[in-house]
Amino acid sequence: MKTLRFIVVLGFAAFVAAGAELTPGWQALANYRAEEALKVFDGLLDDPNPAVAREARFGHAVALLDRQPVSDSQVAEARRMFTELAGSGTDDFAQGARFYLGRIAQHHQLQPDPAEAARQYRQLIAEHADSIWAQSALSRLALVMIYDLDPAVPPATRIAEVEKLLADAKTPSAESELHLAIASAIFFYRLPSAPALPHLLAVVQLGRVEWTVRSEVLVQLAELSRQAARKADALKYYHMFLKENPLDPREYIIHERMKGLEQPAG
Amino acid sequence: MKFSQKTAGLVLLGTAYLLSTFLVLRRSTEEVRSDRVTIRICQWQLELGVRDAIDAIIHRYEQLNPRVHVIQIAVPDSAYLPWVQTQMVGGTGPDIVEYSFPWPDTARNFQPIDADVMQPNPYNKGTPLEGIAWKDTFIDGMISPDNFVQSLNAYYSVSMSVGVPRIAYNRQLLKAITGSEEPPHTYREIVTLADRIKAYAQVHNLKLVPLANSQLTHRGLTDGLMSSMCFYMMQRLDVRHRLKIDPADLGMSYLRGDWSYDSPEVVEGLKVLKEYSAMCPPAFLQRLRETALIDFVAGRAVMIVAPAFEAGSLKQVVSFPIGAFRFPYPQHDDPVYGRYAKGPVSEGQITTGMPFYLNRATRHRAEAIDFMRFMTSQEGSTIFTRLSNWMPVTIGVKATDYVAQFMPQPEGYTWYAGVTDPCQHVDSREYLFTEMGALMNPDGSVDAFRQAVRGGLGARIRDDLRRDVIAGLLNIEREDVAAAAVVELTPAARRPETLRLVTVSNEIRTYQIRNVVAATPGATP
Repeated sequence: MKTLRFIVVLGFAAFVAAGAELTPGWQALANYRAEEALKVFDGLLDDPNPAVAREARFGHAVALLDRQPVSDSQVAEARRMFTELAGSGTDDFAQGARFYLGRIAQHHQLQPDPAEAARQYRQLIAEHADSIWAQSALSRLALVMIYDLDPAVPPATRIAEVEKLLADAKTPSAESELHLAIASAIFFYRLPSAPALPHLLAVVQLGRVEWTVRSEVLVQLAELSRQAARKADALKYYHMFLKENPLDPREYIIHERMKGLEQPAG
Repeated sequence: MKFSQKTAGLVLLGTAYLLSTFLVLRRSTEEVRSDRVTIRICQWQLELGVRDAIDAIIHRYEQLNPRVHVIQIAVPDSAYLPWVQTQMVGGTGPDIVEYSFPWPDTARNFQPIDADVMQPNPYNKGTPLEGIAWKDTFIDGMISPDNFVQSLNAYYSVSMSVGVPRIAYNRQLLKAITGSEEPPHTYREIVTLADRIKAYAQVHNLKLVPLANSQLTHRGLTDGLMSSMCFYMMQRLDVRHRLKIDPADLGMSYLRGDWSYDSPEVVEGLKVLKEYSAMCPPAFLQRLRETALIDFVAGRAVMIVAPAFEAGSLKQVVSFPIGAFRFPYPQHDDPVYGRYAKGPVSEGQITTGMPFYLNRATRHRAEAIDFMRFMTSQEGSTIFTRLSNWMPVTIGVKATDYVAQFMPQPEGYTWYAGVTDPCQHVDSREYLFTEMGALMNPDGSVDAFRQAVRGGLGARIRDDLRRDVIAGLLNIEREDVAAAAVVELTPAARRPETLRLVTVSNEIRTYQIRNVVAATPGATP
């Protein structure tokens, strides 16, 4: 029994030590030093610990997407490694690999393949709905569907399809990103603005956007409320905007708008 | 003994080589021998007073921190960006670098300073700013696009100054001509004043123009005048309901056929520009900034278009008392342009400039951050403004009365982007300003300019927006990789809800611009 415990402890220690050896690789990647990261990951590609070897392969493939100069063959090599990882397990690296297969098709390869990107994202969302990878994939799938997948479909129909993705959002961040994507698309395609209002409202209520976006959304909420004759809401969002952004130069025109709303009708 | 020319040349070359070797060795050995940490800061502001101001800040800082030695490297602006890029690629970049967010590779070259700007600046101890987060000690709360880089969603730099174009004027000369030192307050008054100066010059047979101007300095004023005339058009273009038009929005709306240089507001704006250009010397669009300055200094111009960065130099080179005022734009009550003019026009958000970034590869992060803190403390900023005559950006630091005239006036309307720089990129901007001759030269006209740009501007805007798409995609690709690293370095229990990719709003923009660029001109994507 003691021997068994010793072997387990030793094995765990070896696992931790080997895993820790990958940390400098990730740190280098976080600092945009792909070449340096590759050296770390390459040394552990054949590690006897299969978990470490998988992580090293995942890291290697990710680093290939940023090693300068990035060539199409390098991206193809990353795609090959991600495909192998995604098809050989269900762990975090398999999910991450599936996410990056979507990203490669969406942006990294020379000729984007929106259908392939959508297929990868949909499979990831169907198989691992709660994971960080799937939740991140939701808004990126939405962008593929809105702007790229089928330009022949009217924008309003595309947006309606994307609204269905909201049911798959399990985290406030994912939901917020979807609402923002939908509202932006409504404005971009010059559709009637009023349907954007609930989406913008959700963005503010979920509280997950960076302050730069939040300030824009507050103005949009106020302006759309004003146009919809929802005076109290308009004033509320103008006030919120001014309180949070006291130095913004729109302060002048907003005060003018508020004055107009506060004047008695007639 | 006679030296041939060849020998003399070789001796000269040899001497220069030995001298360079000595200087290099002296600098290297100083660093090696010293028990001090040496950090380097580079910048391109060679205007009078700025280098002295930074040297004075360094001198005071080294008194307070004898363990740290700071070296200033001033590089002319014409060579600055290539120089910085070469240094950064070669791994020899200075620890602190004056840079600008639209330039390439911000994320690779520099490091975010989010955690630092949330902490109080220790050099503000004993002042009203004691205990306040560093970012909140700046007059704009560090919301300048250089300080908070939106595409990277992080704080990257601290600023040293702020400023806008002003009209500086020769008080003595103005009094001699008009009997008063009082500058004009309305558009009609400045038009009348210009006519009066021209008449005075004619009567007295003087080489005298109302307003000295140059190919560089006229741009800010030209853009401001157009903005004052385009309020209602911008309001129509605000389809995102943000009371704001980004440069890319303006470029996209041009390609979608929403506006052009034939739009009525723009045509009226061009008429104003034609009038204003008649106040300047005939070929001012071809003149250098220095030439305009010489005209003013020599008394051949009563007024000069003076950007804030020239304020310090001006004061040092003129021998007569000068004043400064904001060019009075047409207002709604103007008898000619009142239909479209809407004022007051804001000079924009007080967004600070002269930003200093922290090298991602610095070996002396703590010392570099500490020096940046001192530079932007009340004491550092006071030294800076006093010696440079540039505007301070640290709360509570008072500018001199003279410098205060160059302070932006944020009150009023602004839509951010302007029609003379529709994408804030080089192709369309330079194309428009090159074609300005068709309008602003003495033989130019509004119609000639409209005709000139009608066929060419769209292609330039398209090229500029393509650049935005490429930059957006590179940003997306780079941050994709860093996002995986962040996830893997974070313990499972503390993982964020979604990956830290490029923000979804930035990715949306890239898609939208790409779709507009790909669409037929004038069509909805």
